[in-house]
Amino acid sequence: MRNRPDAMRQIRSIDDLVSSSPTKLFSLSPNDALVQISLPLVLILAIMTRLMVIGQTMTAQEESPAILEMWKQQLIFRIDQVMDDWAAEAELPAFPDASRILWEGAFPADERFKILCVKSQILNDKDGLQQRLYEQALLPESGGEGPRLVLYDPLASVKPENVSALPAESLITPERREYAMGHISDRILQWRKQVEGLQWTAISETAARLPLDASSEAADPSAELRRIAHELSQRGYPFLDRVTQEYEVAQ
Amino acid sequence: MKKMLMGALAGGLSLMVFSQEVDPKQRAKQSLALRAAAQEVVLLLNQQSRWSPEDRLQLTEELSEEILENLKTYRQKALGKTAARTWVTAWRVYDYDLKVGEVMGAAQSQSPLPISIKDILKRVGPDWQVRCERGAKLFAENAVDLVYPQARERAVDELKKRMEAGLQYPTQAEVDEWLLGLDNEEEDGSTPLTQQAFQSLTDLIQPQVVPFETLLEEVSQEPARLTQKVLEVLWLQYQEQMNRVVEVLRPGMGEGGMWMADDMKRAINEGWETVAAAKPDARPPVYDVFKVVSLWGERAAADWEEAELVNFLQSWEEGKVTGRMLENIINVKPSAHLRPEESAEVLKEAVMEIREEQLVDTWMANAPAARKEALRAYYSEALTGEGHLVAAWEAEIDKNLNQQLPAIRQAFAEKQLKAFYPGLANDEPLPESVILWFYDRELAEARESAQVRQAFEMEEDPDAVVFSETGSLAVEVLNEELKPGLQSLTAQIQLIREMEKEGMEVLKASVAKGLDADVLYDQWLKVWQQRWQGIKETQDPRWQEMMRRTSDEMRKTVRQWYVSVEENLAEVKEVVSKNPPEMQTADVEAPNSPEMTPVEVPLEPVSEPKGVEEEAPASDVGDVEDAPKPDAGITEELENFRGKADGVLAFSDLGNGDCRLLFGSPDGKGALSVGFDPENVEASAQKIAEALSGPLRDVLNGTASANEKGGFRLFTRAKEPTLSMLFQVDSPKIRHQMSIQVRQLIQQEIDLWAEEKGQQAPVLLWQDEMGLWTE
Repeated sequence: MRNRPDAMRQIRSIDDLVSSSPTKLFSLSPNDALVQISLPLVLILAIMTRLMVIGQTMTAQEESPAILEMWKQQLIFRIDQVMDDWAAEAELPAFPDASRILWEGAFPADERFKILCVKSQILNDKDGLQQRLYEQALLPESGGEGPRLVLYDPLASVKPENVSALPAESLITPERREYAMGHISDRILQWRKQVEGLQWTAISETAARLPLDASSEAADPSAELRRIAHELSQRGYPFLDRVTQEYEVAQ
Repeated sequence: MKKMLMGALAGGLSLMVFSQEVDPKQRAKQSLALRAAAQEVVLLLNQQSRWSPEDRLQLTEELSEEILENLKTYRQKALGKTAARTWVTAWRVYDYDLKVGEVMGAAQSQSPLPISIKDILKRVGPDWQVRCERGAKLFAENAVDLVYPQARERAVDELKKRMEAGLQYPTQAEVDEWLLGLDNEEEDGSTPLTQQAFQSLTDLIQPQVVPFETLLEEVSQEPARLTQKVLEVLWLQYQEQMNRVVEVLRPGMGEGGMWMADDMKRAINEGWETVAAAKPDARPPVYDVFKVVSLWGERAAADWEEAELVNFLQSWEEGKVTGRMLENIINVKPSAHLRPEESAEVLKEAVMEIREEQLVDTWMANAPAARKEALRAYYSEALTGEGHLVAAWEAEIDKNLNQQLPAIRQAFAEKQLKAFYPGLANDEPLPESVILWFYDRELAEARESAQVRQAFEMEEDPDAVVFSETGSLAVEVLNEELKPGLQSLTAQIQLIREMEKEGMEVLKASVAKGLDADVLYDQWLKVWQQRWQGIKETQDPRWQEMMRRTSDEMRKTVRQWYVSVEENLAEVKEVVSKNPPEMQTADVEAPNSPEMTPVEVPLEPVSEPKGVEEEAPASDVGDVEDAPKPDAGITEELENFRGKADGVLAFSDLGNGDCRLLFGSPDGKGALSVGFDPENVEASAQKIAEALSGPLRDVLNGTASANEKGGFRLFTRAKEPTLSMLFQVDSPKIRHQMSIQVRQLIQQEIDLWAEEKGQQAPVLLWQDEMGLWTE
């Protein structure tokens, strides 16, 4: 009699197996699946991600000095301020990509892009722009917010008053100037890359839109580039030399 | 909503990825390269129709190659221009495709990103293909006039070179076959082939030596020219080979040891050994000795032998055939020489038999002693029996016989004429009986010796023993005298006929007056002699006197008319009293009796043999009262049937539904005309029979008399008396039954007459001409 319940259970199990279809083996409903499987997974992923971010932050805090040097802080801050001003003036922030350029027919019809092109001409003289932005950053700012450290670079054209009274912290040594120039150069390169991208896209678009000239002589890409660049320049969109002289450089 | 958000997110992500992946500079370079290529293609399209002189050379070369590859298309210059235009169009399109390919290659090399031809053409525009083809057509229009003539000229030059290079000289075997064929066509195999004969090979060999089926019209004469070139080569080599043979044949008999054809053949064969070796692979090839030349050499050697024989015979005086020799041979057996052909054969055989041995001995007199016997045997065999030189010798003898034999035979003929035709060989005039023999047979002259024999009543036939020339001579001698005699007799009889025609009325009047027949004859004789005076001067002097036959004929005529008039004397007198005739002479008067016609008194020519007594014709005239009255029109109608039959039964329409029967002999005897109803055949036949009974009996009586005398014109000369009747119908109303009825009635009448007379009934020869109306 003790075996009777076990026997019945075995029989039921066999009946279940026999009577059950394959779909019945997975008896979870979609809601059950979402609650019982997906949500715990999402939760686990979120926790892991957060933990990774925290880990990275802690690593970064361990690697960087806790406190920046004053000259560096002041100089980078001023350089960024000057360069931000220039970028805003050149309408660079308005064109994160070429799709922002306005077109009319085969050519751009966009004043801001025109300003960008004109303004960006200075990028043709990267070293000059670099030097000018650097010296603008060295200029003492009148009526500025809070106390600011006066910076002095003996090699720069800008000279603060009472240089002899300045602390050693204010003096820009060659090493420090190199660091500052590197910082400016990196950003100018980013600008130039952005402008070149915009202008190449404009050229590509113009080349595609501009009707073919039946009376034209035999053409090659460099001639087409020169012609389009010339047309755009005539319309107030001067392009960078690195763009217009692409094929000459290549040659 | 969720789905839209997810889609936008995916699109943004892909755009971002794309924008990150594709460098703007690379894309711009791709665009520039694409644009430059498209610009280049547009330029090509613009230049597609433009003709550039720089294209000429290449285009000319390629078009000439195209022409050479498709000769059939470009066969005719004018038609080929259209094809050339099409080809230039295609060439231009292809050229465009090539340049577009080059442009694309250049674009791909200048672009960092891939560029397809599809992109370029899409950039050019949707109508690029139309522009391309239109431009190509325009280009072809401009170019074809400049390029096609030059390309064609170039192709023609090239084709000529190819034909020249492809010229296939025939092989030795082929040339031998052709030349032997020509040689077989020649009737005389001894004559060398002519250049004209070589020309006749043109059509035969042209397809073989110039195996080009399709050619440009400019070179259509080229195969003929090249064929001529080949024929010229063959001709020159043939001539050269023939010259060698001829050189060998030049010596005469005995010169250089040449005594017979075999010597000559041997010399010819030895000559070939010195000829340059054949070079079949050379261009042109040097051929070996042609078979035809070799054969000709063999034949020429045989001909040489024959020619030498003929030369010798012509100069062999002591061997000549003389007239005396021929006469002697003929005299041995003249009967073997009756005909000239047989005589010539006999004479030829005799001469050859006599001269054969002498000929060989004399001809080979100078032969080397070592060969003399062999040569004598050889030529003896050649000149006897069926030897190969017999024909040549016979021909020479024939020449001699043709020259001499006719005169010899003529002399024999004259001798034989005297011996076998004494009547012709003496100086006596020709007997009248001989002339009458030919006159009675209506022969104008003698044509064969048998007639001579019959006319002279010779018992033996001389043709069995005399030459054929003798018979001809006899005919000739006889005709010399016979022709004028016959002419004179004919004129004399004709004069009687004219008198009979003109003086009939006078004669009737004279009979009505009661003149005697003999007196009448004298009057006629007198008139005849008066009129003959004016005619006889035109006759041969030997035959100007009245011949006995003429006298007999006149007597007969007068007698017949006399009897006829006498039997109808009452009517004649009545008519004469009413209409006295114009007198021809003071003693002769003639009545004018319409009832009297020649039908009543048949006039037969008298041609009895000499000595036969003339008898008055038995007159059994029928019921002339019922007979239709003849007139001059009837007589003229009957004359149309002259020569067709002895009597005529001609039926025709009268116009009133009745028909008419015209009866009579073609010369007017028994003439009558009867009308009858054609619908009633039996009654009409009976009526016709009754009308015919009188005239028909007159004719039958006359026939019987003529048969007795052997010369009645209405009867033929057959032993059995006959009467030919022509039954001619020119009316659709006359049926075949009428012919049968009339024939039966006439036959009954003939039988009845014969029974009454106790004579043999003449055979009725019935000629039925029913014409288109025959049932």
